[in-house]
Amino acid sequence: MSALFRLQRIFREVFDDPSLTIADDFSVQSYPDWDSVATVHIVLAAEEEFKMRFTTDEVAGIRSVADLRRAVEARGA
Amino acid sequence: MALHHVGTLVDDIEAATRRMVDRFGYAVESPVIEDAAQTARVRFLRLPGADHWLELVTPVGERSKLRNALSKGVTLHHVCYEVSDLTAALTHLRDGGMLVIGEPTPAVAFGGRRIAWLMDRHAPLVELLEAGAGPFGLADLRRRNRRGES
Repeated sequence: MSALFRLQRIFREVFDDPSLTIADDFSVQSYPDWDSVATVHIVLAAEEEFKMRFTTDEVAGIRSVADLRRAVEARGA
Repeated sequence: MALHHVGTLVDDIEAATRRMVDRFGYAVESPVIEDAAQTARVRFLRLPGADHWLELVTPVGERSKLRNALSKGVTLHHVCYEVSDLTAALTHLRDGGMLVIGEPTPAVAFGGRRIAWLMDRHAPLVELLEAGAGPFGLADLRRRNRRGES
């Protein structure tokens, strides 16, 4: 199962939208509901899903699905 | 770990001060303090004899990270705990599932004592303040309360 697919499940749950489709360009700019609180929810869910921990700098730099996917895949997920 | 203050977001710090003083009997314990690092102005109030403060927080500038929360109607913004060992407390809370969203940094309101910010799925934000000498220390407040000072 790809990292993007697993992230999509997380985004659907966080934004309570079972039909939400994400891609690398899905971002805080393109999706107004994605605010700092949503970022925290997404990051905590991703940590649980991928059994990993983000650094504070990484969390601050997550502005898009691409940012998140790169951080996850950098750890071999 | 002890409750230090509860932070509430307000759009007009002077009006909010008057409201809290007149309605609930709070005493004003500080001038308005500008903290550029937090893009905020703050003021501390306290009920006579209370062992913690109420912090009024208002955003500074249109780019303040607090502006968005205020526009969404957030009022209860954060709960602050004073801790004797900031690093150990951060590790403990991170291990417990919280996310560190602001690494330790000196805070002007507390005479340079460091604060850090954490968040989890449950609002509000959590602020940690390291104990020590300087304004708004809980040890000093407890001494004042024991002496019956307001």
